[in-house]
Amino acid sequence: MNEFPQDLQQVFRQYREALPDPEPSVNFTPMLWEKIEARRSSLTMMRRLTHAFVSLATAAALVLGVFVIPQVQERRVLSTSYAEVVAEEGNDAQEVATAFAAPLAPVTGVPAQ
Amino acid sequence: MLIDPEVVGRARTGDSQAFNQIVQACRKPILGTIRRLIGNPDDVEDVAQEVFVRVYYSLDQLRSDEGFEPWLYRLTVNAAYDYLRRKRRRHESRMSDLGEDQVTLAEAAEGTKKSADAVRKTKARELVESLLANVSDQDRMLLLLKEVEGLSLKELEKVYRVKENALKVRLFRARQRVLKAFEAGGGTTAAAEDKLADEKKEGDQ
Repeated sequence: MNEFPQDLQQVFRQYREALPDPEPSVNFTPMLWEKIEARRSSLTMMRRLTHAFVSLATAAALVLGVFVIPQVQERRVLSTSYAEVVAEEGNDAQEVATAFAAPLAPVTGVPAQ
Repeated sequence: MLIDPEVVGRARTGDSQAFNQIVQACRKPILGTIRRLIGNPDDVEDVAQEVFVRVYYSLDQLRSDEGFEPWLYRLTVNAAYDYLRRKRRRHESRMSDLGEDQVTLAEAAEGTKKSADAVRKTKARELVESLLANVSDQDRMLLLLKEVEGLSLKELEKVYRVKENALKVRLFRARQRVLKAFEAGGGTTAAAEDKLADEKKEGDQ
C-alpha cells in the first residue's frame, strides 16, 4: 500500500488545513537566546568540572605512581630476608625427612605371626 | 527551500546574525510541524525553542550546508519525540490535551458560532488524532511527515537516515494499522466522524 484511499487522504488534507502553522509569539526569539545562554553557562560549568576532575585524577595517579606504589613494593621485598626463606625451606625439608625416617607404628588388632 | 545554504554556512562559522536569519525563516513552519507532531498547542514554542537550541549547538555536526533542511526536520522529530516521552513519563494522557478541541467541537455541534467549514476541520482533526492513536509515536510522526507535511520518500530517507525500502515497509505497516482503524469506523469519513461523535456522547454520559 503506497497511498491511503482517496477519502482518507482527504481527511489528512483537512487535518493539515485545520492546523495551519501558528504565528510565533513576540518573545520567541528573545526567549530562545535566553535558553541558548543558559545552556552555554551550564555547558561551561560542566566543562570546568570535567577539567577539575581530570586534573585531580591525574594528580592522584602521579602520587600513587611516584610515592605510594614504590613504598608498598619495597616493604614487601624487605619483609623477608633470603636467610629466612632458606631457613624456612630447610625446616620443611627436615620435617619431611623425619616423617619418612620414623618407624611405622604397629597396627593394633592384627595377630602376630 | 526554507533557507539559503550560504546563510547556513555563515551560521556554522559562528555568525549570530546568520543564525537569527535561520530562526526567522524556519520558526513558523517548524512551529506548525511541531504543533501537528505533538498535538498540544501549549508546549509548541518550548519544543521549537529546544529545536533551535540544538541547531545552535550542533551546527558544526552538519555535513553540508545543503543538507540543512532534512537535518532540521531530524532535530524537530527528535525533540518532539523526547517531549512525548517526557510527557508519558509524567503520566499525562495525550487525549486530555484535546480538551480545547473537544470544547470547540461541542460548541460547533450546538451550532453556536462555528461555520460549517470550521466544524468539518475540527472533525477532521479529531478523526486523524483518533486514527493515529492506533500507531506508535514513531509511526505517528512518520505518517504525519509523509501525509501531512508532504515530505517525499527521498526527503524522509535523509531525515531518518535509513534506506528507502525500510521506510516503505514501515509506512506500509503504519498505513495498514490506520486503515484498519478507519475501516473499523465504517470505512468512510462520514461514518468515522459519526463513530467519533458516538464515542464523544458516551464519554459525556
